[in-house]
Amino acid sequence: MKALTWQGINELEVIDVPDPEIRNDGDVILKVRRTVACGSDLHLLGGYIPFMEKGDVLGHEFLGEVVEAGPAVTRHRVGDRVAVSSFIACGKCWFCSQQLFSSCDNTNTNPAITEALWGQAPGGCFGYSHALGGNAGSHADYIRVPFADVGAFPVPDELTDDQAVFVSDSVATGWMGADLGQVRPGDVVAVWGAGAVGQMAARAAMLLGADRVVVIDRFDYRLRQVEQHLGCETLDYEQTDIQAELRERSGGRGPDVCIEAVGMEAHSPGPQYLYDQVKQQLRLQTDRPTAVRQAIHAARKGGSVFILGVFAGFVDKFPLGAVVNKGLTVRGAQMHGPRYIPMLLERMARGEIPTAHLATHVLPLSEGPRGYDLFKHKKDGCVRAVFVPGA
Amino acid sequence: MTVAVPPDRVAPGGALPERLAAFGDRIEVQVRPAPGDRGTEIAARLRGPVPSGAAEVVARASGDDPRQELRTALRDTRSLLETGDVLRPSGPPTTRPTPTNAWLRLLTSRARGEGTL
Repeated sequence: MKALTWQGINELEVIDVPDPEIRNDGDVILKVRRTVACGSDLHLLGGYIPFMEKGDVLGHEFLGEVVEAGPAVTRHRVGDRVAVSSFIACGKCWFCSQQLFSSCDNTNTNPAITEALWGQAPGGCFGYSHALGGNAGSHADYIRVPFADVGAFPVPDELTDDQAVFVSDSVATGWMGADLGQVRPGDVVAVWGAGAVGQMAARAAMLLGADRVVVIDRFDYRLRQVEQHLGCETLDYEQTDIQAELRERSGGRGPDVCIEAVGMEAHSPGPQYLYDQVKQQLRLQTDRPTAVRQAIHAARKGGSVFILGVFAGFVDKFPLGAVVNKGLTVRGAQMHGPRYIPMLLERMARGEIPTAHLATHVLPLSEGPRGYDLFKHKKDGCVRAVFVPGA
Repeated sequence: MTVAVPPDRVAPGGALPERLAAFGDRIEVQVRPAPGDRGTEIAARLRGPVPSGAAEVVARASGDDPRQELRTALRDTRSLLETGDVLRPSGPPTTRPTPTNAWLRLLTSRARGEGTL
């Protein structure tokens, strides 16, 4: 089959690879119908997460049709159209029982790497390096989905593939930020990052009753999407003083909930960006936490900061003083897909969560490298490149 | 290690799970209820000497350290008790050995036997 593979830092290539096989009784094999370039893939592409091998198949946000099911699969049949949680969960361990599905104890087949890095291993993820299990990703004609009864969900007929595919990661991640960030009716919520995850976090905050939702970015075309498709307020951080604006828009209190949807390659104006770049390139810090710093500084006393962006290791100049002295709750997580996806598919089918506009570039998988170039360099108004295998 | 099943399922009648029982007298095992209804705590320790110093480095690199065997058995035990299965990695592989990925392949080949478990 054809697959879009990592060939080295900033090198991608579509090559022929073996078809995936059923390896456990709970697996299904999907014929991939849509698979999306995610911002977190850029950290793999750029070599910031070094646990990649030449030939690894990328992709963790996808939708497909079941073409084969293992003997233990009871909830899916050949021919079903399903969306799949990007993180793999067994559904039976203590963490899954607490709905902390991305912390699953039994799905990372290389647990020692992340145990050494972080103390404990999260669950496995599709197409996201050997640190998270080395599972082949979805940028391919076919993909193996372990524990399919837990992580794959039938897609309502009302949704097109291009709409539904985002539930696999972006919509669920964004919803989790608002939910676990504890957005309450009447809140003022600020979201850093107007990519797909940031947009979905903003929409979730609105649906959870926030009175005012402000999305921060520097790309005009993304901020326009936020205004047109979600109805949120926007701020361009290159044009205004973000801290002052957020105080202005929250009666001087600061946002009740701040959601960071940027990650370890954050950009910022001014010398701070250069400082973080140099330290990251010298490996004196692994991640650039610019938006996290801003969010912590902006949050109201006793407020909440939720970190959705992907961070891998260590950061510098973390404003711990603000966290302690303002009494903040700071929380992060990888996406607990099965906790949210069924509910989100219903909301999407009812038209509550618009996603079609995120698919700015729908391309055949053979054009995967071009899609990532458009996406990474924000060319041609790209918000997400969606690939169609076999097209 | 904690498994999310009650003690009477971990060691019915005092019989250890198969993967741990296979160690025989080579390990000492304690099984006790976990607090807060979290299932069962299993503690396992190798009896007798284990490689240390330079010998440990060689044993761990070659995959011959008995602690690796025990950690793998513990991980398998937890997964079998909780899910009835042990997840296998994706396959067939889409990568092949190269000089640049040799370090990562060594790491992943030992990844169930190493770690903080």
